[in-house]
Amino acid sequence: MNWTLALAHTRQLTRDRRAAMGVIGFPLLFLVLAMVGPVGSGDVSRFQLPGALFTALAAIALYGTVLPTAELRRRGTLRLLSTTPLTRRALLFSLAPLRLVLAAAFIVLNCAVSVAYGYLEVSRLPGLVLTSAVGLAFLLALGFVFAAVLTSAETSETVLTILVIAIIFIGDAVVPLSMLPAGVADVLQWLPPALITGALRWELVGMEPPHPEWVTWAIGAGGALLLGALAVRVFRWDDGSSS
Amino acid sequence: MSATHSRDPAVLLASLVKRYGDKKAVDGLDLRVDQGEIFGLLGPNGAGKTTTLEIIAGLRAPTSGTVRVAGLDPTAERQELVRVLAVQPQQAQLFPLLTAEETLTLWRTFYERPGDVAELLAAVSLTESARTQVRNLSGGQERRLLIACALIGRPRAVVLDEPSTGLDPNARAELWEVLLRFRDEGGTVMLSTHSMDEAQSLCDRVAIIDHGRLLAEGSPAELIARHAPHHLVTFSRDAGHARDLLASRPDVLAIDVRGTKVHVSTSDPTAVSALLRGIDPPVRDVVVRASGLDEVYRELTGRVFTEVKV
Repeated sequence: MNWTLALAHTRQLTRDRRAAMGVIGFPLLFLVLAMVGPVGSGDVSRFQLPGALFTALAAIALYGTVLPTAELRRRGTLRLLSTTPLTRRALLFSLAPLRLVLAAAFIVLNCAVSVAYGYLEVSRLPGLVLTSAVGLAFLLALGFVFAAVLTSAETSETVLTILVIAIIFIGDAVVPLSMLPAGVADVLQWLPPALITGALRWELVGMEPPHPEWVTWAIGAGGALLLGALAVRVFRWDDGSSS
Repeated sequence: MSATHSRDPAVLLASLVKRYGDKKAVDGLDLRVDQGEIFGLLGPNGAGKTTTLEIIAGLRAPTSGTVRVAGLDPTAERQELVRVLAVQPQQAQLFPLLTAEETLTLWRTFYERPGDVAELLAAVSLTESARTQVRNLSGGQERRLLIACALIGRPRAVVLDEPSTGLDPNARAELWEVLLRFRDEGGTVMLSTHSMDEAQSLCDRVAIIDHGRLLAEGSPAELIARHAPHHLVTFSRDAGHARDLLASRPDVLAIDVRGTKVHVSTSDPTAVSALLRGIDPPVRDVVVRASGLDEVYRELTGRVFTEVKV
């Protein structure tokens, strides 16, 4: 791990208020919306709190990774880096530490809200940490794939908006899978997004998960490894004009 | 893997061709750049300079031909190449929100035996701007920081694509000092430029290329002696009557009107300038100088370099 490069990415993000707001503000908004639930219905909040955590992980992993990388590619910074001994793997993985810290902060925040409403049991905390780690790894790897190829911030924003909405939708984060046609729900429940949300729902608020946690960890970690390898393979230093 | 030997030429190109569709950007280029020299690729926009440099840097693959940099194939041996060759591409930008010092501190982590950040900042006259974010540096300062990034890995050679474009004369002079110091310490510099002045003042040897082909190669003095051994007399274009007098003289080789000046190539500058000063009314602003690379380019292509369409 090139920690100086990881620090450089951190500085780039924290010194850019707009980017920082996208990564931090969007997940906070979902958390606030989830907290508003108990006023009307405790069940809504209980359902949405894990969804808010999943959305936070998705925003941090996707917005926080793809947009800055695409912008560096558009500016030619990645092309310049390609003339140094820096490897594509080192570049991609140096994006992870800041996202881990942000994710940890949101996990703590969600846990605090869950404790405040009396949902969280201490015995489920280790599982929550592991599921969050696997979920973040999967979403980061997915972000790396898009960060590896998208060439402009404008294109990335469009693609990411569609991607995040799709992930939240198929991830059982806002709309319950039970509201979807049975055949569709049967498939989606085995994909990492829904598995992760399902496990978080058990660990964070005590709602029974559709599958054992180990299934989520195995499929999530496997997906992260596959997507991570794909990202390294398809990564482009420049905007494709060199051939 | 090829071993890199100290006696290998810094850069060797043989029959290099690069096509983009039907267009040949580089057309059978042969070049040799020796270690420890500043070598300039000189030509107008579209001559093939950037493509050639990007092939040397391994950023583009050639269509055909041979490329060796310190004995290495830039495409096949890229991992070894980036340890000995540093590159400043034409349109590269650094991380905008890092300071100059943070940028160099980052760049030094990429190399096994990096240089000292403070020393390099001083060498490129950026010590006072060390804590300024890249986005707030002037064009000249950012260009010098890019050069510092290229040098911090202690490379054996650097490739710079039009490093002084957009710089004011002071910034350009400071940049030249940095490059000359690197050369004096044994480093090789290969740069592209469309500035005749830069090629003549900075480069040990230059290659003039046009439409992807090599027109001439040698030291600026050699090229001038070989292709344009005459002198140039310039005067204000207001003096139209003088032009008519000069046109029929056997010692006048060519007359060009560029901007507000008339440029007369002549084998007898003393006689021509005496004539201009002696006619009535006398011609103003008569200046005599030796020919330069502009005249070499004109001799080789039949075109005036500054008037080449981009």
